[in-house]
Amino acid sequence: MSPQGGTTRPGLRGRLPHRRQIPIMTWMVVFWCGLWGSVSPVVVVGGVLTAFALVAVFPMPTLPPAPRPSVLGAVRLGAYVLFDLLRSSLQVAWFAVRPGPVPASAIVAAPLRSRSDAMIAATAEILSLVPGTLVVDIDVPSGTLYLHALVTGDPERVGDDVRASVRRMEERVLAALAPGALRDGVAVADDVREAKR
Amino acid sequence: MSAWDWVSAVLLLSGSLLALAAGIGMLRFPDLWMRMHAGTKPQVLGLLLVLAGVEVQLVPDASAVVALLFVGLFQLVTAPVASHLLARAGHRSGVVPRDQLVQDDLRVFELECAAGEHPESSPPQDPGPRAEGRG
Amino acid sequence: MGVVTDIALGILLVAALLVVVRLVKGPTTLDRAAAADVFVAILLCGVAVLVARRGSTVFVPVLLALSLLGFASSVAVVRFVGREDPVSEPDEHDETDEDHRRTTP
Repeated sequence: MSPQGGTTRPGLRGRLPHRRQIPIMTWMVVFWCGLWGSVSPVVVVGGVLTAFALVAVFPMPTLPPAPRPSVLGAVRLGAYVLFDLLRSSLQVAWFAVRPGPVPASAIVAAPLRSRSDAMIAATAEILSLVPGTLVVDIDVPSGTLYLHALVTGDPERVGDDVRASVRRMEERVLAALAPGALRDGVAVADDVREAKR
Repeated sequence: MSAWDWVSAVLLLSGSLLALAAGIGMLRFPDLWMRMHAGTKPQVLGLLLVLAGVEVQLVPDASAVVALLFVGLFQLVTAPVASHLLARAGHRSGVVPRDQLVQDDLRVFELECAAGEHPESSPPQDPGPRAEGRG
Repeated sequence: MGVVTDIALGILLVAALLVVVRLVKGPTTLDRAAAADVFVAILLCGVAVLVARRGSTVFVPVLLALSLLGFASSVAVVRFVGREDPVSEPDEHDETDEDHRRTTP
């Protein structure tokens, strides 16, 4: 997959997992407890053992050290996502049920500001859920998303509208996940990518 | 019916109606990409609303509530990924007709790649020609 | 409350039937995969409504399993299609563009 896959050295297998894998293991244990619906000691110990086994057998590409996410930004991002999900769902539902022709559509190239894989992935994921767009393809080297969008207004302006909403959403994602990046330009977001090499 | 029952009823019915709209969109929209719009957004919100309506009824049972929360969270995370994968496969295998599009920046990009203007980018080619080149 | 869940199940049944029509009509594998995805999601809604209707949580694990399965199935289909079936509908393919792309490295 990614070049990072090779850096999970074989020597790590069977020994203690890498420090960077602790978050994902914690998440596994939490998920395990949720699935069992209890937090009794047996379940927790079983979850920890399962997490160890999974990390040892299927070593995940570890993410580079990410900038510390901002809680306030994340809450704000979540609120925007919920609001936009509501708006775009109702919009698409209305297009589906209204009489008359279905709307036209377009594929728009939307450049992103950050080059970090994690940021591109987060933005793309949220965008295909949210404002009337669907990610068709991603060009990582130039950081460009190709989005399929429903034309709601003027067909001439669809590209600018989509690019503006992508830019706003990316700013929110960066504000939530890499708060330094907005302040210092894209340098921090680029560093995430550099650190991987 | 108590007040919570009313809340639950509204959530269940609106969620079901959104799912119905998704179904109508799946049937009515002309190409794969537009159907993915219908299949992603109203569908996810509809499922979340239905789950919320069920949660309201199950509140005393903590484990069931947590399990349903996981279902909703999982859907929220995977639906965009799945829709992106399908949309990209539709584009790369060339099965989606593109002559109806108002604007097609991706075609422009492909032509530029073919002309060698983006040496660092891997052009989003069809799998067919690329497989030939490798074999 | 029983009336509400009945109505919700009826709406979901109609939605599922519409999606099944798309599932049968296709026309491509990817359309069917997308339809199957939506069908699983509607099935999830239906099972959830059933949980509310019965007031029993025996079906909650079914919900969890289905929500995981729907994603895995569409990923599997996409991988399969990407490898096996580059063009299932040749008549929808833009030949001139194909040629243009192939002539250049």
